[in-house]
Amino acid sequence: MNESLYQELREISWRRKLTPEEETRLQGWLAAHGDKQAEWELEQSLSEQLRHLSDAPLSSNFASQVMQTLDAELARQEREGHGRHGWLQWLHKLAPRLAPVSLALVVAITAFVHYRKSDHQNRIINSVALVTSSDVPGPEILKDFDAIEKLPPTDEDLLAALQ
Amino acid sequence: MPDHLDPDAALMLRVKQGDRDAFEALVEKYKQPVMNLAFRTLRDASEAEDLAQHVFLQVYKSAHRYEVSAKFSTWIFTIARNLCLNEIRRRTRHPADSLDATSTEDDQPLIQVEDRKHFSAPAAVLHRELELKIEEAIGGLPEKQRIALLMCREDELSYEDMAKVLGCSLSATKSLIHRARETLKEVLKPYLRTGVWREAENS
Repeated sequence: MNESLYQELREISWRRKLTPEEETRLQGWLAAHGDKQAEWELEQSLSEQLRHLSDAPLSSNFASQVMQTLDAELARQEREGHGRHGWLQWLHKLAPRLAPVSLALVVAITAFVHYRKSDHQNRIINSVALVTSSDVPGPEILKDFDAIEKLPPTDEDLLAALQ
Repeated sequence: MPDHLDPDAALMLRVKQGDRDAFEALVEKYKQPVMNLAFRTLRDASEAEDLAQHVFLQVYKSAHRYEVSAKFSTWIFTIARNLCLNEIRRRTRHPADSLDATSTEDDQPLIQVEDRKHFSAPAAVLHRELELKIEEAIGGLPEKQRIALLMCREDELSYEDMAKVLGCSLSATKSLIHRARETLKEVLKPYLRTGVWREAENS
């Protein structure tokens, strides 16, 4: 047996007691390695103590508490699920009745939007036609604009005589 | 279903299908190991029991994610370990929440451990004192070392399983246990050397 086997047995002893065969092999090795004897005894003593630690305190009705908590949790989830599903079911029931109304509403909205759009287009077309058809004076007439602007006010008598 | 299926995995398959009896059987089997880990990690019986309950609720809720290829004990200890670490982190962020669990007088035991073995009166006192020393020493270990050392006591888990739970390599896992044990040997040396434990056990 070598050092690595000793290490292996040591790791086994952390988990469980060595079998008589393993113990014999170990003792044989320890007899030849007296310096390891004290270390091994300490290891063994610690393993014993850890093995004998008491179980943690646990309520006698722990399992039933877990089941109760689980039931409460599942009931809560079901309620929440019902809340969501209930709304969906309500919508599903009303869908056949709502369908024609919804369709009529969609058609009406589409028609209205179409009407607004064509009305707007007509207005633009009419405005363009008005602008192009009106008799706008040419730019040459404006060359006398300043002279006309400086003329005195209308002579009422002359205007009456001319008429 | 394969013939060699782990009995716990078989139960878990039933839990996946909503079998409450199978779930209850798993709770019965693992309640004490999970509680031991939670209690010695958190060092508060009430909090540990709450946490252990959460572990099992988590098992039920996550049943649909359970893969048969995974060993059930590894899976449940991973959940337990994660919840324990989360709780420790929460305590670190809100230290005032856990004052009750840590404030003790010198002559008061840090934790209450039910003594299930029967000892004669002096031996029981001695046993109790020794056990408290060990509990204190375990409580003083870094979290990862502590969890590794505690899992080492569970027959269900091999070193490979422990490595999976801890999320580290096999050698790192053994190293954690080795370091934990070295610390305990150092702290408990006076008791270990005198063999007073063995006397108490034998009396």
